[in-house]
Amino acid sequence: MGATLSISSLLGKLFGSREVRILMLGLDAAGKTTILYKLKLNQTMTTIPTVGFNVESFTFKNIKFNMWDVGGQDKIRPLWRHYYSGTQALIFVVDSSDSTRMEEARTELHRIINDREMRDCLLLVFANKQDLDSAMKPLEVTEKLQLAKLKDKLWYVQPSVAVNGDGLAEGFDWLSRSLKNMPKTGGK
Amino acid sequence: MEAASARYAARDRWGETGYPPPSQLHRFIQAACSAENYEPNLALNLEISDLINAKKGSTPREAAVAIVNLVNHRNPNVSLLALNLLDICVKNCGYPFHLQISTKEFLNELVRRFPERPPIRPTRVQLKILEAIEEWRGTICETSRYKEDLGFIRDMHRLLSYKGYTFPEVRREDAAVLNPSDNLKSAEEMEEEEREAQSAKLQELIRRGTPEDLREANQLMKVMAGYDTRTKVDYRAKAAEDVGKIQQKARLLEERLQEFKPGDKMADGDVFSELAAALSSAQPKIQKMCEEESDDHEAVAKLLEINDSIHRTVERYKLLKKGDIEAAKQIAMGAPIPASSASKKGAANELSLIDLDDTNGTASQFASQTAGLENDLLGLSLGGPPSYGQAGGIALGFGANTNIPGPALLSSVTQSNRAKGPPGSNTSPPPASPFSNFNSYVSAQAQGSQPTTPQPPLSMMSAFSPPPPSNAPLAGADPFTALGSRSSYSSTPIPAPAPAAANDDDEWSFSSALPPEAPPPQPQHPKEQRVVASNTNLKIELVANRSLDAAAAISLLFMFTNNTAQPVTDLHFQLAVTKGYELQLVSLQSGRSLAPKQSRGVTQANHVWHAGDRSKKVEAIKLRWRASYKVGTEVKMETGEIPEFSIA
Repeated sequence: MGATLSISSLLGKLFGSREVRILMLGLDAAGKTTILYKLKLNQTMTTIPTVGFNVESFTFKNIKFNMWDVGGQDKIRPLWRHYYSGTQALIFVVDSSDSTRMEEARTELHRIINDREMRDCLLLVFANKQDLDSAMKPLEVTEKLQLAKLKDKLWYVQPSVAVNGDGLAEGFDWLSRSLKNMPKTGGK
Repeated sequence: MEAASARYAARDRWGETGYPPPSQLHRFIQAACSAENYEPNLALNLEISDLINAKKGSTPREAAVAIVNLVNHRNPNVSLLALNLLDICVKNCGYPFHLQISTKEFLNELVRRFPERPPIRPTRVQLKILEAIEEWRGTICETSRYKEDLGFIRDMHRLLSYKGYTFPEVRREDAAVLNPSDNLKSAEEMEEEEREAQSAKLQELIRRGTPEDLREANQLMKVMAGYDTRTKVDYRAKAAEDVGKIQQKARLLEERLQEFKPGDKMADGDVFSELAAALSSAQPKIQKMCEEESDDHEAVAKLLEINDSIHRTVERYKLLKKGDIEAAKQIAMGAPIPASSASKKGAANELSLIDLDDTNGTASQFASQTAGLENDLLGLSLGGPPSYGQAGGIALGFGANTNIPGPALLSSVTQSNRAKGPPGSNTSPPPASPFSNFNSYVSAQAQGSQPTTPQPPLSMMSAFSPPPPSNAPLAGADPFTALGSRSSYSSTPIPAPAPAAANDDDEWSFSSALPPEAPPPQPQHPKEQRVVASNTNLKIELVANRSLDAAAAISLLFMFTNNTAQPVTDLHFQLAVTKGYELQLVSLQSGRSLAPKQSRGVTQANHVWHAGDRSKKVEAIKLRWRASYKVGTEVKMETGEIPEFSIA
């Protein structure tokens, strides 16, 4: 049993169909749950604030993504760290139209990235809510989040509109390319 | 799991080639279990457990996996070293590690090298493993606060026994460290502990990731984030309860010191030193609690007072141990004796080590009782969630405090009834039991002679009983106030809920302990008993006799009279009998309301039978009742007890 399992996972590795664990975080009302269900069901759902988490898996370009979406309210943020272990990519969602909370978002992002268990993971930032007039451009978001300060980190900022799905596929394109290029991942 | 173990096995064989460099934890574990060691490296083992405690998160799991793989090493020396390390981790890393050793994967891996049938002579490694499982089953599986999470250990134990494996004897003292310590913990520390456990559990649930686990994880997150407060434990109340326990220890030691005579010797490790050690270790905690509670002046004052009295007791112990009996007496006498002030002021809001016991039988005690009654009801409705054990605490405290079979208890109840109602209720038979005068003796002692040392009455009580367990703090009320007023309800009869026997078995079962030869109040039983159960707004009269159609039973007729000038409505009367008897409703309560000043407007008739045997004659019974009614718009609730009486 053990032998067959490891052989099948070995074959899986050879032929590139792998499982990836993705953690999606961000401040509350950034659009994390909307993104998750847009990707999973290709439907725009009206979501309520997530108290706890959602997890869904879907396949994109031959990679099976297990995506964890954890609530972003400040009371839940201390619990984020329980989800770090084994994460290969972090998707950080920001509400580009909410410039007042960029500072807060930056603090949270850097706190996550600096955790030991998140050392090796990729970072994809969705600059969400680009459909709103007041939305900041990706470049501005990059600046506000001080991503340039990150060393030894593969990151990418992708403008997106979760409600109609714009930009999501591009973001995951980048993810799957980067994952395939990664020599080896810490998880299974 | 298989993949992971294969990986570790591979690492074991070929070193780290092709794998990320091992973490500090792995290096430590490898070093601790290296076959080059002749004996366990305790320092390193402890360092590993510290590392696990410091890093938390997934570290306990990583360590458990690494260790169990070394347990299965081909070299038995490595296995034994790994088992030793495992033991250290289990004993030092607490719940997060316990959770890991109770996973299926871990346990299966632990016994992987066990043959299907037990070998005639198990190897040392196998014996060690069996011993570990036995030890865990006997300790953490029984005593951990979260033992329901550790069920697989028990299952594994059962499976191995089923297969014919026998477990070696475990020395209780060695394993005792796994039991939760009874050191005093402040509310904050307890909360911290709970948070740690929840974190570990959440981490593990997310890692397992099965649908049920994820559901549970979601639920747990709600609790941890504070959205779901239903299961939240009031740690202040618990801390107060624990302080109560420390008080008891202090009382016990004080009492032991009382009996200490010149010439007696104290040895290390005896009861004295054990109690004194527990008390001295509690002192800094109490001081810490004072800091935490700094915004609640009343609580701080109480805690300080407790601290002082503990300090005195410990000092006295130290002097007596040195043999300096005179000086010890000085301390006791020089110390302000809270008892004296307590009896003057009325015990209720005085916190001392003493008033719980020495006012136990005094009438003054019962002034505060009416107020205590609602509290008791509160306590009852609490229903005692397991983590509290409070309802049980009340019951126990009640039984243990008086710890005198029925009648003595009743005597206090009679007093309480008199204190409550106008003095027309004297029809109840005077309590006459071999024990009732004991109670009054206690009170006389407490009031009369000024005790030279804090607690003579207690030592007399304790001749009959171990000190009562701590009283339950009330939900809702400030737990620390409960500390002060605990005495008031420790002796309050607990009103029996209506459906009777089933509910109050616990505290009522002592009636069966009544010696059968206990003399009944009157040598000749009257044919009829009339009792005024209560005479407040509502007068409740009871006529008890034998009816023709039910000769073996005692017939009860309750009559209700409205003493007020207002209508009484929504009258609800409930009755309970002691275990072994059953109530039969003969006629329903004839109405629910009484006009102003209406006399005996409502009646209710019951028969009391021996439970299960209606041919046996019921000689004597006692009853508890509860009445709720509305006077005008005000809801009233009364409870009481009718002392034992007999009918010819």
